[in-house]
Amino acid sequence: MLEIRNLTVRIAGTDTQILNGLNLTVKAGEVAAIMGPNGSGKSTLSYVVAGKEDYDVVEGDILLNGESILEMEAHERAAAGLFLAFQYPLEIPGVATMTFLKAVLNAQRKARGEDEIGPGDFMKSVRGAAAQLKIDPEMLKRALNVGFSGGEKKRMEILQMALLQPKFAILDETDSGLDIDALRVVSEGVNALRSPERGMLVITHYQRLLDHIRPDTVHVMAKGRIVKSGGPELALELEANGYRDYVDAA
Amino acid sequence: MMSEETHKTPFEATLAADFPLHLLAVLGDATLKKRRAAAFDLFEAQGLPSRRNEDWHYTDLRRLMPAAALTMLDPMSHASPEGTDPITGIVQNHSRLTHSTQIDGGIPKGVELYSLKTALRLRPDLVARLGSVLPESTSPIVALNTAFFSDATFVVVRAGTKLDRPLHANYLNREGMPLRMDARLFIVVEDGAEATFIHSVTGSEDANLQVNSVIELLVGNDAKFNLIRSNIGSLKSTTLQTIGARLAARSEMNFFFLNAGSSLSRTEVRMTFAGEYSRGALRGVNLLRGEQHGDITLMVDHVAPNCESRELFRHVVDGSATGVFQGKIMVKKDAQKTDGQMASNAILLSDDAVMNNKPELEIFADDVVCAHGATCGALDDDLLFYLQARGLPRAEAESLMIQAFCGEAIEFVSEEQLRNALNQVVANWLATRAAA
Repeated sequence: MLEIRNLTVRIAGTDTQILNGLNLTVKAGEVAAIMGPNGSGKSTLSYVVAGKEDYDVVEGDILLNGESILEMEAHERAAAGLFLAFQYPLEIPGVATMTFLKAVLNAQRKARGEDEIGPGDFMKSVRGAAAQLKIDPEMLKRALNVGFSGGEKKRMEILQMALLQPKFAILDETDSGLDIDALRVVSEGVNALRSPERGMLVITHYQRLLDHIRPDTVHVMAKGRIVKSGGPELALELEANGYRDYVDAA
Repeated sequence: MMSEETHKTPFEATLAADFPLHLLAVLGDATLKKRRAAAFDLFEAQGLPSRRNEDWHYTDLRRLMPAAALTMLDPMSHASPEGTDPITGIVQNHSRLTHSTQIDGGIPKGVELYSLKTALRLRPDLVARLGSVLPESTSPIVALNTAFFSDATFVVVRAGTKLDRPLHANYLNREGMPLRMDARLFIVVEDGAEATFIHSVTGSEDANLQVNSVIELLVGNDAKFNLIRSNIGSLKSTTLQTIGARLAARSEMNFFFLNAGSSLSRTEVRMTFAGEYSRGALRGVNLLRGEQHGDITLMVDHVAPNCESRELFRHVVDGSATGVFQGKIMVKKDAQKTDGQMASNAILLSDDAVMNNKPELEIFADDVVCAHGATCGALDDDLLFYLQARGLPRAEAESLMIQAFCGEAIEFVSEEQLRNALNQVVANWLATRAAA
């Protein structure tokens, strides 16, 4: 599904190397977790996969379903089925949430050669997803994320994921800024989207999120590389012993 | 050596040569003609404003003003009876002025309408009040208008009249010979009356007019008045306009301006709070591209206490265009409890785009709440990436952000149809940009 080969990345136009030959494979139906300390390159990895232009890929490749996406622009990767739930979802003043949702949904459909969604179907799917994530329908009339709490912004990210039905989703520190109740609601939203056809990459600092979203595989990231891979038990070990052994070894 | 200020520009020289003949031919009784002559003397004494005049620092007309075209004798011949502008196309339920004394479907009850000719005969008192809001001393441009305007439109909304449909005058700039047009509009909204006036200028991109319009507004006690002004198309035209409003007690005035036209434009709005507890708002959107120069200058004058003013302008500058915003809130000594807020925000879409943003406060009272803010910047890259990562191509992401940026000013327009029409103008502008 998602295959990252020897990915080496610098900040655009500089010698500052953030990712150092990173290898990672996540299969369809698999939920993989990446854990690592601050500064290990986790968010950079998510941005590079999503297609942010602030980086130079100097070596390696990223493949989605066997095809390289490196030459694709961010919106083309989205249309190909890639979704990034942002660590810090951005506020878009002046754009009503509903308008935004419809615009992005139709942009992706258009890119895939599909017809625009009908207003009835659109309202139905938005309302259904909002109800599951306990999002007040009134919020959908407000400007996207403007004045939303941290928890509301994260729920809005998962709402977008539910509407867009991506093939592969990256969740970048979706647990940051969430209280326990919000964490449960968001996790339930994510778990509802688990399917044998969909892969997910969950990036987090803490074991806590993985109690709610149970990963199939856990990878430790340090200094821009995956330094250890294992099953869910690896997360528990990290929670107990910290990252130091892996950082020192890397 | 002859200084730059002492020799006449081609524009000034043509007008000086034309004026004596113009004064003979132009409409007016002895009093008005005398005033016109005095106004032209005043213009000649000062000449076109240049960058040495602080109010015109960023719009140096001595340098920018093209040579004078022939003076048009009947500005209302350009009033458009057809639905040719985007605003007209969407807003159907208005009372359209087809001539200075005519409105489609008849003049609404409680409204009086006069051309200069009929006003001189029936309401000389109105003619005498010309200049009561914007005297010739306001600027050489106002003096020039008084000297040259060949017709004027007087609108009186009688006391207590509440119009349910907007009054609308659309001027259509046709292609052809360049012409100079001095338009004059005098609107009295009497005590307790409520009205909306749409004043739009449209035209083909090649229309080449030199417009100098002066609009004077008197808003009575407890009256409510909305003025929507648009300038679209006519990318070769020069548009100078000076709008003066005097607000009486407990009145409310909302002005909205959408500028997307003219190669050179200057919109100067002077709002005076003359009566207590009045509220006024000046807002707008300024869309510039190519080599357009668009200047918006506001003077908000708080004379009476307990008044509230709001100003919000959004500028989008592309190509090598130049935007100018100068806004001053003046709070006079007696204007205690004034609440004034001004904001001007600009997005620059290219490296060559220029924005001069200058908000000012001048406060002589000691118990006031006033604030101003101005920003200039490019579109936020992180926001663009967020939208792209959701599937919007870059051009669409930019358009969505610009539409939203302008929409935040447009949403203050109270009539939904008008809001839709103004948003559509922005959408059309963005579509042209995307196609370029």
